[in-house]
This record gives sequence, C-alpha cells and structure tokens, in this order.
Amino acid sequence: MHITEGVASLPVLIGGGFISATGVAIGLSRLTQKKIIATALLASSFFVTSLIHVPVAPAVSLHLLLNGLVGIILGWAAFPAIVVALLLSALVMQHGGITVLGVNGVVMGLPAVTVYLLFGNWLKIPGRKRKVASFAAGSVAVLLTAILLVLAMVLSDRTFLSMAPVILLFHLPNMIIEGVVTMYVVGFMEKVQPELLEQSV
Amino acid sequence: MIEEKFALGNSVFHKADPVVKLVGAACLLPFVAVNDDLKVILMGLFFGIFFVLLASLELRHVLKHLVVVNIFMFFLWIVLPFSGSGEVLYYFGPLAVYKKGVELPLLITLKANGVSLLIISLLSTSSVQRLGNGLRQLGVSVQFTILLLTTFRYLGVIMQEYGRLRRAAKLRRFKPGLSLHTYRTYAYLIAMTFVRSYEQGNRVNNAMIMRGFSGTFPIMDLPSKNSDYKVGTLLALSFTILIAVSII
Amino acid sequence: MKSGSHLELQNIVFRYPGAKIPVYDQLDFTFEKGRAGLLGDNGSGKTTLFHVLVGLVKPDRGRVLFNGREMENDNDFKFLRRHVGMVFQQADDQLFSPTVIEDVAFGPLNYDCAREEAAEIASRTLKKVGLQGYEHRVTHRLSGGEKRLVALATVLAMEPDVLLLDEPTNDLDKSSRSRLIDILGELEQSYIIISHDQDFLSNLVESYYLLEKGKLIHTTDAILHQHQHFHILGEQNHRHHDSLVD
Repeated sequence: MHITEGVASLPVLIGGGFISATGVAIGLSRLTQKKIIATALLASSFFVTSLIHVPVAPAVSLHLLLNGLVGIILGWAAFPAIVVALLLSALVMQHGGITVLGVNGVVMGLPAVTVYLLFGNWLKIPGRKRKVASFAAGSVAVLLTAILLVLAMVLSDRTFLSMAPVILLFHLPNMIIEGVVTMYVVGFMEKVQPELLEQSV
Repeated sequence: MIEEKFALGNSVFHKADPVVKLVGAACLLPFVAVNDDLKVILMGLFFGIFFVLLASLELRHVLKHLVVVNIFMFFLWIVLPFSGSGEVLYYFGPLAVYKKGVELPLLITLKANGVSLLIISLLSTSSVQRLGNGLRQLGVSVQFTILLLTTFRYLGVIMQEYGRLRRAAKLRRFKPGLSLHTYRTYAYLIAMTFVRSYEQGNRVNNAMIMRGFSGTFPIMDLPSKNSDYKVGTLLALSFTILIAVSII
Repeated sequence: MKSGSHLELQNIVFRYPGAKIPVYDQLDFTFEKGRAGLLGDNGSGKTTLFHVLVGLVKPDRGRVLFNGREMENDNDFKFLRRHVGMVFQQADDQLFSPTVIEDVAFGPLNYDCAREEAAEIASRTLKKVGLQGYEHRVTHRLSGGEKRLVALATVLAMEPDVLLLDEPTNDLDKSSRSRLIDILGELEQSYIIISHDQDFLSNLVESYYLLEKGKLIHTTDAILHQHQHFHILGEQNHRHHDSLVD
C-alpha cells in the first residue's frame, strides 16, 4: 500500500526521505558485491509477485504486500530492494509516486526490516519455530504497514483521520492471508532452495 | 515485457541530458507536491500538460497512465467529503459535505495529475538505464544504481517466468477461490518465482565476474548537448514562474 | 596479448553441499589447445567442471593450473578470466545490459579499454558473428538465436585464448545452429564445448572428454563409433540417444 503524489505534507516528505535514505544506506552497506546482483533479481521478483491478486472475500481480490517475506529473506537489504521496486513501480506502472518515494519506502520498508529483526532468529530454526516466525513476519508486516500508512497520512493532514478506520480494517484480512502465504512460501523454499533462507544481511 | 513507451521519441525532452531533467524534476516536483496554494498547483498542472504536448507523447498512453493515478483519487473522494468537521458546504441527503473534506481531495487530485504529467514528460522520456546513469552522475551510490538497473533489466524475464508458472497451474485446473488450497498454490508460485530468480541472480553474477565485473557498470553513451540548453532553460524558467506565482 | 590455453586440473575432489557422493573423484584433466567436446550424463558435473576451471567453484581438494601456474587465490583467477571466456547455458544470464553494444563492450570496458576503443571492438566482434547493425538493439527483445550469438560476442570481445561453451545449441533452431557451427568453425581460439548434440560436436571438435563416475576419459573420434547395434530403423536416417559406450 502506498500513498500517491500530493498526499504527504512537507515535513512528512522530508522525514520519510531521511529515514528511507538511512535505511537504504544501511542495507547497501551490508550487501557484499557478491550478493548485490542476486538482491536485484529478488527485488524484481518482489515487484512481479506484489502484482498478484488473491481472493480475500467473495468477488474481492487484493494484491499481496509481501514486504514481510522480502524482509525475512533479505534482512536489511530489503530496504534498498523495496525502495528500488517502489521507484520502478512509480515510473513504469504509476503506482505510488516519486515525490513520496521516501515516505512509501518507510511505509513498506520499515515493517520489512522490523519483522526481520523480530523474527529472524526463530526463522533459522527449522520446524515449528520457523513456521510460527514466517506467519508472524507476514502478518505483522502488514499490520505495521497499515499503521505507518495511516500515520503518514494523518501527520500530513488531520482530515485523513476519517479514513484511518477504513484503511486499518481493510488490512485485517490481509494480515491473516499474508501470514498464511508467507508461512507456505517459506515452507516451500525450505524444501526447494534452503540457501535462500540464509541470505539475509 | 516492460515497454518504455514514453522513452521513444525525438523531442527536446527525449534528447536532453537526463541529468538536466533530473535536477529540474527535483526542483519542480516537490514544489508542486507539497504546495497548498491553488495558483501554484494549477500552474504546475499547466506545465505538466504543456511539457507532455511539447514532448509529442501519444495522448492515448498518457491518459492510460493518468487513469491509474485517478483510481486512487477515487477512494479519497468517496470518504473524505463526508468526514471531518468544521464548515459544511451543503447537505447530500442526510450526509454533510464538509468544506475541508472537499478541499483536500481536490488539491491532491490536481497535484497528483500535475506531478504525474511532469514525471511522464521529464523522467519517462529517458530510458530507465539513462536515468540510472544520470543519477550516478548526480552522486547517487554506484551500488544503488546497479541495483536499480539490474532489477529493471530482469523485470520482463521474471514476469515471463511467473507467467509460465501461472499457466502451468491453470493447466492443472487451478481456479482461485477462498480456500487454503488457493493460498498454498499462490505461495508455491511466489516461492518458485523467488527461488528461480535467486538462482538466476547467481548465474548472472557469475557471468559478470567472468567479464571482469568489479562493482561498477561502465557507462557507454553520451547524450547530445544541444537539447540540454533548451530544456535547462525551460525548466529553470518554469521553476521561477512557480516561485513567483507562490509569492503573489 | 596471447597467453596460452593450457588448462589443467589435478586430483580434484568436490562434493555438492549436502550430497553424500562426491561428483569428482580425484579427477585429472589436461587441455593444451585445439577443440574438444565434453560429454557426460545429466548431473555428471560438466557445467561444474567449467566452474572449477575458472574459479567460480572451489573444489574440496585439488589444484587448478593455467599455463603451468597454479591458481591459488581470487587474483590468480581474475587473471585467468581475462584469457578464458565462458559462454553460459542460458543466454539471458549473460545479457544483463540494456543494449547489445553495452553487453558486448562490458568486458573490454572492465579491462580498462577507453570507451571509443571498446565500442570499436564491440562493433568488430558483432560483425564477426554476423550481427553487424545490432549495436543499439534491446537485448531482451532479440530472438533465441540472436541472443545466443550476442552472448558469444560478449565473450569474444575480450579476445580470450580459450573458450568454454556450455550447451551452445540449447534452444536454437536449425538455421541458428548451422550459423553457430560456421562461426565456431572459423574461430582461431581453442575451445571446449559441452553438448548433447553429437552431430554438432562432430562437425567441430577433434577429441572428446567423457565425464563418467567422477573421472574424465579423453578419447578421440574413432572410438565413439566402434559399436554394433541392431534395431528396426536400419537403413533409414535415424538418431541415437546419447550413450557413448555400449
């Protein structure tokens, strides 16, 4: 979920830009030359898979955020990967925006890194701990994204407060579904390419 | 396949150095985006339209892009006018339409359209690759630009890969519905896309190493100098006008 | 600057992570120059052998030598890679630049060529593979055959002494394939080709390396055809499956 051009006020824009720049810098500094190309391809995958629509209610489909998944796979490198995906998304598909890239970077990237920090350890332990960690990563990331989205909007203009309940409610089914999907994805990766679960920086 | 539709063309915007356009965009875009002065916003919208026409872009495609932007606007318009407090404009049956609830989406809609048009005419008229090179010349880290350019380069490849996986599922009679099976299947498609792209990433890295890759992408082409002055002047002028309008 | 094409592996042992049986069992390999094919069943480790030769994979034991010198660290292999070029199985893996000329010039530019010189080398190389005029084409939109030839050009542009080609006829139609045979036939470089396509190989190479059960056997053409067989197709044109020793 991202905000479009014109939604963010100047302070929010600057704050978002600053935090995103920091996040990207940290992520890049932890990426070795060996991993940067693979990270780019994973960012590409993130872009493509975040376009997938999944049914959440009769006749209603939502697209998955998948920032939780990207967070646990890439760790801090998720920040630059997500920012790059957002930038390309804005340029190529008109999703989100360029002036609000920093803000959207925080909205999507901060939850990714947060769930990595919170659940990364349990993720390394195969079995039940891994399952729980992946579900938690997927769902908590969505929750944090929704909260940050609302925060960004409300801090820009109090009038947005009326939209807050709608946005938060909207993300509730998403939380469960992304938790489940992330859990299954990690389960599949574990069997097919466990190396991928050891890439986080 | 990711087509860079707007990047093909012969206008001054197409020929100008991306660095000039990036600097211009960096000034114009945020100025319009955070402004609450209706005069400035309208002027920004005017410039957006003017530049798009100057760039001779196909209006059909431009409108298609604007539709996406305005879908988001639609959601704002459904909720905001009826919420909030303060001055009421009029009553829509039992619902009150608040002034603030109309001003906000109105300004945002105008801003979003104006900024989008500016982006299309200034940024989309150069390929992502040249924009990336321009960013590097402006001091953006090499790592970031490599990440950007490589992610973009393989977007089409990954899309095709996902498409193949999706079709294979369809051939096995996969129909999305509200079931655990559906989520498992999507999870499988997502997992395989990530796995395959990761493995390809390693192979691409190997290919780069075999050709001497040491952390930088060498730049090949040099854009023409002619259009730089025209576009540079135009952008500087526009920015000056916007500032002037905001002061009046 | 020519360096020589003498590649050698001594006593290589390597096990894939998680595998029980090593894929190479004290394997020895010597290649001086000329043209050779590398054959073996799927999973026998042909591609990995190439990777060991150029230092992309580090064996558990054993030595890699290039022109008599042991390749001990990454710097040694960096030197080796200036003289040994590898064409990958999938062209897309090698075509990571937006346009053809950038991909072909990538190698020379990385080896401190000036921009104009690199562009000139790139154009020359494209001409060599029959793709003159392709400089500004977008790599992603080329056909399978064209991609394969551009991939070859990206490696040839570095003027290596030896080429390693991994399944170069994968995904190629008949005309692209014969074009590739012509181009490879005219190359001055020595090369080793991994391929299942024995017709293709028999047109080009002088000897074969067979990778079987973790070891390499070097053989020349004659031995391959020493077998008798019987089946219903008899006198008609037919193909055999890829079995080397009956």
